[in-house]
Amino acid sequence: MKALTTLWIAVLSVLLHAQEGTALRQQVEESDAVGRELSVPTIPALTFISSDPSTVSRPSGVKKLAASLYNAIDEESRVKQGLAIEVKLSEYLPIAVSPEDYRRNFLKYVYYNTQASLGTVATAGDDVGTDLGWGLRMTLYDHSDPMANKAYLNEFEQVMLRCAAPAFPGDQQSAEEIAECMSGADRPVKEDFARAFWNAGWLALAYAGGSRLSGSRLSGGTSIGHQVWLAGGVPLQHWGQLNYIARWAHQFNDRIAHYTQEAELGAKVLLGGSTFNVYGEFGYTPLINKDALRAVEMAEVDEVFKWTLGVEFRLTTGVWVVTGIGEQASRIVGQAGPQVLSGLRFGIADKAKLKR
Amino acid sequence: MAVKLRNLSSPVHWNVTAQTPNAVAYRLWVSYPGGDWEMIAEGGLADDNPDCGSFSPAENMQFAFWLGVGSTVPRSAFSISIVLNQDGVPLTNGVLRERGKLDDKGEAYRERTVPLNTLMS
Repeated sequence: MKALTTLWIAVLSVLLHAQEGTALRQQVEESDAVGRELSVPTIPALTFISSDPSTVSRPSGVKKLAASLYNAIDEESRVKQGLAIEVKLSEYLPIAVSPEDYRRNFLKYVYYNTQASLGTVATAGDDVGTDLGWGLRMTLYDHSDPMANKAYLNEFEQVMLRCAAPAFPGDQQSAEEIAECMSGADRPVKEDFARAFWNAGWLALAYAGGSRLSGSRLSGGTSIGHQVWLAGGVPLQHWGQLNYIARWAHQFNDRIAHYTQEAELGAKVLLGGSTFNVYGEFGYTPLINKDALRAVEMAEVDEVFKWTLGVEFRLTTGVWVVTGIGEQASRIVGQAGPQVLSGLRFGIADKAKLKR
Repeated sequence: MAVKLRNLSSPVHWNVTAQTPNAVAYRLWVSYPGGDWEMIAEGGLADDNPDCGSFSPAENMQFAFWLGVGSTVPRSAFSISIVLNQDGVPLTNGVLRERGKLDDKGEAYRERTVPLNTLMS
C-alpha cells in the first residue's frame, strides 16, 4: 500500500509539472540526467561534437552517399557546417546475411548491426571554423532483438500469411485491410515478446573521434580527441536487469582550452518488468589527468559521483515517466545535494525494437 | 521475362532464400495451360518445414509467388530470392529476386507471375 501511495505521488508530481509548459520543457531537457538509458550513443559522431541537427541524412546506396559527401564540400573546398550522415554498412557492402546467419553467426550479426556516422558543427566561438566528427557503433549481441529469435520470426510470418497472403495470384487485399489485420494480429506477438525479453542481455560498443578544421578546410585539421563507449545489460532472473556503461574520453575542452582525459563508470539496476520499474543508478566520473589540470584556471578536477533512486513506468513505446530522488552533481554546477527529480526518459532507437 | 525450361521431363525445383535477416512468408502457385492456379507451397523461413520443393514442367505453364517480408526495423533493405532449377542447374531467368526497402511499419509485400517455356520468348 505504501509503495502504491508513493507511486501515485510520483505520478501526480510528474503530471503537475506537465501542466507548466516551461517546467516540462526544462524537465525534458534534463531527462538525460533524470533517468538515463545506459547505452552507447545512437549517433556517436554527433554526440562527440555536441551536434543536434534537426535531420540526419541516411543515404541508401553508394551513389547517394557519394552525392551527400560531395555536397558537403563547397566550391572553395570548405566543409559545410550542420552535416549529419549515418550509414549502415550492410547496405553498402555485398555480404549476404540470412536470417540463419543473423541468429548463429557472430561476425555477420555484428556486421549487420554496425553503423558509421559523420557530422560537422561550427566550432564554439569561431563561426569560420568547423568541428568534424566521425564515429562507429556496433551491437555485439542483443538477446532482446526479435529478429534474432526464431520463434518470434515464425509467429510474425504466420501473421503475415494470415493477414496478407492472397488465395491465388491477383487476389491481393487492399493495403487498409492488411494494415488493420496486421495491427490486431501481431500486437499480442509483440507484447508477449516484450514481456519475455524485457531484461535480456545485450552488449554494444561505440567509438568517436574528431578534428577541428581551421577555416573549415580539410587540410587544416587538428585532433580534438576520441571517445570509446562500452555498454551492456545482464538479466537478473525474470525480475530485474543490471545495465552498465564504461566510457573513456580524451577530448579537447573548449571551456578551459585544454585536453581532458576522463573515464566514466555507470550502473543501473532495474527491478520490475517491461512497463514498470523501481531503479537505482549511479555514475562515477574520475578525471584521469587532473594533476596536469590543477594549475589551469577554471578547471574542475573533483571526481564526480552521482546517484538516483526512483520509479519509472512506460508511457508509450520508448517513452518512460521517471521520478525519484538523487544527486546530480557535475563539474560545472558543483554538488547540488539530494533533490527530487522527475521527467521523461526516451529509449534510444536501437533498443526500441518493437516499435512496429 | 519468361523462365526457360531445360526440358519437360525433369521436375523443376524451387528454393526460397533470404539475403537479409527478415521474417519471410511465402505462397507459391503453378498453373498449367487451360487449368486454374494450384498452390504448391506456403510457409515461412522460420518454420520447421523445408523451403524447397518441386513441380512438374509443362510448355507455357506459369509460376507465381507472393512474399511477405517483415522486420522490426522500418525502412531497412531486404533481398529475397526464389531460385528455379532443373537437374541441379539454375534456369535461365530462374533466379527471381525481390529487393527493396520495407515501409514505415517494417513490412513489404511482393507478388509476381512468370511464364515457363522451353523456348525463349
